[in-house]
Amino acid sequence: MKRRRAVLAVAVALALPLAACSTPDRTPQIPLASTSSGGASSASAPAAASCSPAANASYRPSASQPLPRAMPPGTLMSTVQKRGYLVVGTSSDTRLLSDRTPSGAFEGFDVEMAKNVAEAIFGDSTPAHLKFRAISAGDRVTFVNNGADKGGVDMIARAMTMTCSRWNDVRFSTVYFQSTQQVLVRKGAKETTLAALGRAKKKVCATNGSTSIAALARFSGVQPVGVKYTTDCMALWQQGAVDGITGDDAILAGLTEQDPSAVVPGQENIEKEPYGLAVAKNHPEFARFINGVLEQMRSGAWQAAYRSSGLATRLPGRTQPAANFSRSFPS
Amino acid sequence: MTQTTTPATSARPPDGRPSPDVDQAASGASQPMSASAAGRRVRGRLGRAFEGTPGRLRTAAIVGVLVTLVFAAVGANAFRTRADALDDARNSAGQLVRVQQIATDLVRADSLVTNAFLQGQQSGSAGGAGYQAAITDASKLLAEAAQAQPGDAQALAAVNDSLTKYTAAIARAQATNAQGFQVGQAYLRQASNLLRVPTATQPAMLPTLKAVVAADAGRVDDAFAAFNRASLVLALSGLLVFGGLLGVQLWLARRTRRVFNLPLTFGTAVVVVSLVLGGLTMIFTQSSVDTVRDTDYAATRALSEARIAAFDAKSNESLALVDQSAAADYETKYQNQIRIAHDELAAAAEAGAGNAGRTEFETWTTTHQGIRAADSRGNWNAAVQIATGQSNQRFKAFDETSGSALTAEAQQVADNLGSPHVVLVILGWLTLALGLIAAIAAWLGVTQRLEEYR
Repeated sequence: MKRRRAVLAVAVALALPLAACSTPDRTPQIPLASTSSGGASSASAPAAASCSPAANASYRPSASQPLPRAMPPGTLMSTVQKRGYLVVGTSSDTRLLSDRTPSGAFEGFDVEMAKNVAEAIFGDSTPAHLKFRAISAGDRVTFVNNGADKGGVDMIARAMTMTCSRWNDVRFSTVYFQSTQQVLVRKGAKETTLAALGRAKKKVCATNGSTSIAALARFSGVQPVGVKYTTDCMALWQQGAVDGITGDDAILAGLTEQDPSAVVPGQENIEKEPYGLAVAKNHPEFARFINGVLEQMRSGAWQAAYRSSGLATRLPGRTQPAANFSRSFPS
Repeated sequence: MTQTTTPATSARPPDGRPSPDVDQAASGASQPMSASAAGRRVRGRLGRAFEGTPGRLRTAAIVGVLVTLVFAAVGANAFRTRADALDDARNSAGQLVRVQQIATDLVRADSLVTNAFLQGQQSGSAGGAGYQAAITDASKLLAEAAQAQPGDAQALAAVNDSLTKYTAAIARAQATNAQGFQVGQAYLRQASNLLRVPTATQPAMLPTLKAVVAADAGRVDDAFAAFNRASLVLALSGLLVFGGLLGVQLWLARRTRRVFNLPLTFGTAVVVVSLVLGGLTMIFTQSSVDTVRDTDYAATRALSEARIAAFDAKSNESLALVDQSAAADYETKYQNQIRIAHDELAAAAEAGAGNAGRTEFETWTTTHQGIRAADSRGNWNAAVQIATGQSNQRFKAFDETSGSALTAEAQQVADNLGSPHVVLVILGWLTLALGLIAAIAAWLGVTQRLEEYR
């Protein structure tokens, strides 16, 4: 407990000056999706270090992970098994993570995560057992808490960053991918970092309500442009309406695939964006089950997903993040 | 009658010719004279001409001739005004139909291109050809409409500017979609916003066109109002001439103890004939124009609005499947447009357009439930299949039926607002001619009596 306090104090000390130099008029007008607690810097401060337990901490899997088609009664997994299919909320246009192919099927790294969870429940991940629902980033919390039986979803696999404040709304698995905020610019551009773009008073696009757009406030001079989807940023960038796009490296990688003149220099060191699979607030047992699935994936399934999704080609050298099980399971 | 301050003792020749001293006064610019004195002299001369029975007769003649001339001019003008108002109504209605056609072309193009996007088709496909045709037609009509009504030109120029951006966005959407790139969806959204959602810097085409249609509808209403006022003008001028002539005749009869003045009676009869003819024409044209306004014109407007809303709904049906994470928003927009289309089709039917695609429309909307049900079940492929299959077939049936009904109604408006025109022009000239004849008769009638005083 003492050590945690110390970490917290350091984090606050680091975060305060940053918050102080973000003048209100340069802060994007669009309300952030989650700033309910933790003060002014909670959304933009390094997520993993600003609360206790840390935002990337989840529950230790049970000693005996349930076997497929044998979900313990009274759990959400058992409800899913009885229903016959798992409903996963995801994106339909985030290339490499989750997008819909012309044939109508979803593909990408997030989609592979969902398939592994479905396999752990049903023994396979055929379309009959796994249904995807395209949802917007803003709808994630509502949909997962409504649940699949009330028009929502059972789980979110949609590039969702684990933050302290989001833990107030949902339950996360352990980190399944460690993303970082980067910036996309034109090949051969003079300004290759957010700081340089700021000095040149350039326009940088990000999605509304994202941790990325909040972080833009730290780069003096940058003119933030907020839109609904990252593909909207891409269209504006291709039309010359913005000079750069900032967002998670995994998402930007998908954008560079769509335009050979786009490049992500990878020089930013802003903050970690730990991706977690999210479930309803009242179903921590499902998060714990998923943690068990993620642990099983260390024997090759994670790397297989990393390669087959194409993420390995664009963002090479990544490995499955170490799990932080320091969050105690609610009694 | 004319009251003057001229002294009663002043001599006045019975023939009313001016006396020498008046002549002098009239031409007395060479003689120094105060302005008031000159005025008195002139009044004196005029006064003498209008004094006694001959003077009163002259006054009567002038009154009779004046009222008839006023009638001739005002009555003829009333018909001319009415004919012009009818022209205005017809032209403004034509412009309104043209602008609604532009909006229809744009939503048609959008519905085709969003549906084709859903099928992953590239330009040059069936959707692409229909899209191109609709855009070409819209461009052509935009130029025509800007020329036909200068008052609309500025707004239409803004639409034309947005249309250029729209087609550019669509071209990018199609190109990137063909490559399998998700950014294509963003271009499709941009295009959709250029059509529907205005921003601080960029007006949207449909709301702009809606404002233009409202302005044109206002012009049609103004023209109908001017058309209606013309009959009131004719009635008032008729009342004036009838009262004037009757008054002159009654006065003459009492004054000259002759009951019957043939020319005056003839003049009055001519006025009455002219009034009856004019009145009947007014009533006839009023009722026929009222009918056009309440039937063909009302049906044309309602059918156009219904088609615009239906095409817009069709686009939203496709967009809900393209941009699936915002499906709920598109569904709301779809339902709003369906409600508008439904109501406008009912209004068109009430205005006498008959079925006009109403049955086909209701049939088409039933496929939508299947699309939403499939998508909600997570069966996107099945939803797309219905949206690009059965939905398209049924919508085509609605488009064809409602489109030909609209063409027929719009033609009716042009024809029925055009046909009374020639009658009104003829009646205008006839009123002028009859008025002049009556004026001559009035003059003759009074001067006949005046002769008796010579």
